[in-house]
Amino acid sequence: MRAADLVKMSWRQIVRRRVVTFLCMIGLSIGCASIIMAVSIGQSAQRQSEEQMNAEFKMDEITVLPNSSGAGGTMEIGRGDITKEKLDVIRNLSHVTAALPMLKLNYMDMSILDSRNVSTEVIGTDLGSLASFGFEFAEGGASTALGAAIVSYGATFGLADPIIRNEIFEALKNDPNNEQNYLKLSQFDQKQTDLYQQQIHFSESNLPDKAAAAKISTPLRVSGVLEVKSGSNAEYSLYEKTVYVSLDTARMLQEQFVKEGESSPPLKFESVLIKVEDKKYVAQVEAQIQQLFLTTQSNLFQEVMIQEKFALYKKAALSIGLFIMFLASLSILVAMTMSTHQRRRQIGVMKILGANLWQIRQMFVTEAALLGLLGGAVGLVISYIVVGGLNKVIVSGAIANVSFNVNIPVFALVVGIVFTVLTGVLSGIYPAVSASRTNALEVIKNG
Amino acid sequence: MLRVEDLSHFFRKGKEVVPILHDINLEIGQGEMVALLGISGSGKSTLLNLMAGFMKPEKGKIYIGDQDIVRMNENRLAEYRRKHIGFIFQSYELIPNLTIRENVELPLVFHTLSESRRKKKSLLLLEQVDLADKAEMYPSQLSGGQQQRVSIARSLISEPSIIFADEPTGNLDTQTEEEILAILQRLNMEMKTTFVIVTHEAEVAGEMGRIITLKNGSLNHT
Repeated sequence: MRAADLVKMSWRQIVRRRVVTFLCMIGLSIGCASIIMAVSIGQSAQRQSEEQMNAEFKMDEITVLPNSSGAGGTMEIGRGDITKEKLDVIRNLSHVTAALPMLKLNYMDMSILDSRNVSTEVIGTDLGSLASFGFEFAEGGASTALGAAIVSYGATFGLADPIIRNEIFEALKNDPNNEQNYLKLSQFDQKQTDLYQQQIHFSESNLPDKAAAAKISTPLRVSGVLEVKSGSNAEYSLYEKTVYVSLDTARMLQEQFVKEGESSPPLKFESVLIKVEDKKYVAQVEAQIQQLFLTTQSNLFQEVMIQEKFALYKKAALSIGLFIMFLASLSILVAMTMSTHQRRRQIGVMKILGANLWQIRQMFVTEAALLGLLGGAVGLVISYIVVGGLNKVIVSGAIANVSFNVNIPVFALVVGIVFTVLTGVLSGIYPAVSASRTNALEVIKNG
Repeated sequence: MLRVEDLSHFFRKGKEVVPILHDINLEIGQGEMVALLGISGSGKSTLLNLMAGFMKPEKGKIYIGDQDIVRMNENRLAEYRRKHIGFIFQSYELIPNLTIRENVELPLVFHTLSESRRKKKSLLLLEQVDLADKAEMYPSQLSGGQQQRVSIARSLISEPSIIFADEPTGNLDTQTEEEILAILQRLNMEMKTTFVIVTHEAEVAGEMGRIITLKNGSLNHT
């Protein structure tokens, strides 16, 4: 039989039996709408969670750390250390767009020309790569010159005369409840100093003997001042006092502060921050880095956690949709079986006119599939109406903690329609087989 | 054309065996118009159903052309019926939700013939039975005689070599019966199609070229 004839004949039966068609379609369309809604809400909620997660966590970044089982001591390089050579290999890996090595020096006092100082963390890194990791400059920028430094937003606060600061600390030791002293300290912390283009130098802080404390670095110049880092806030950033210098400058500082009788430590990094083209490459790049006997950390696990959470939700919602579909399939089964019984005389005539078993089955299965398709189409309309209403309710703020818009993805429509047509076809198989077994002579003789 | 050899058939009623046909041997040639005459219970409808392949005999062979239809499975038989056999029912058996034209075309739907060719053929046949103007009407809008003419047109659409008719005038009044028989005779003359018609009326049988009488399951050739 030609497909067009099959569809035409089936369509006629569907139109002729409007009430049965309508009853079958109720269940099917609700089932289809449930599946579409389940997939759409799940997908939209997951998308919103992922967007939130991408904003909060850097999903396309990897932190490379030394492998603790193979790390050497301070003065030697172990198999698990991050060396310059490994850094070069990492930089050349495909999909790696930037690398930010971290060579951490001890906390040091950063002093300016008027001798005010503040304790800062000094990190040697690739200054040119800072911008790739979300660092923005409030003033100036990165410089390749030896002795150039970039200060964080927090490092521009809290500069104070060390003598006055020590006096306040002493006073606090003697009178811990004196609010005035706390206020004075707080005033230092809140006061910002314009460090751009200022000359700075470092001295090691918290040293037990004063002779060593007298050791100061050669002067450096501040070539850039950073903004508050995106994702952080100004108040919190006050306490992040960091000075970034080039790797050469960091090595120079290491040499200047080396203890007497010791040599400067070999070049190895505490960590390297890696940026990859897209988060989809994170796992692949991580695996390659791990082959260098290094440890990696990324936020992929956050995504996996969210996906697992939503997969569970989607499964539950899909199960409800499938259960409704199962009930709908029973209605088709009953309706089609009744239809087979009522039309057995016609089936008998068709068999006598030359229809074979397969052709009779095809007619009934096509009819059931068309019922499924119709139910799916109505379900599609229902889901669009419900989603429209749901979005209005969400916009009005009536649902607490829900702020995302539900979108129906094409994938959900395909899943909904496929499931309804499949339900139709599967529930049409028994009636189709039963119809094809009709004894033509018997039904024509006995009606 | 049609050859029946040593055909016997019986029904089982519990443990009892009820004989219906005994050792039937007959041959019907191409273009013949044959009446199977007999009283009720003589076995004429059973013989017709066996010859049309709707039932399998307990014993014997039935050849249409050189093919023994007894040995065919259900799907082969369906194909065979579709290509070589036409059937006219006493109660017309038209499909109520199809138009007259679509009813006539129905056997060709199972042939996968295109709609335009089906339409052309069906309208031609409807013209032959004088119902071309009613092609787009539904069976319920036609009289019994007209419905039977539609049934005749339908039996001819796949150009079968043999048409079986089971009491084709059984539900009609005398005047309509005469009209239908006239149409069958005309078509037999024009198309050289073989007709095997079951009837219990001697008058109807008398209009046929040859009468085969069945009595208690055995043949009487005339």
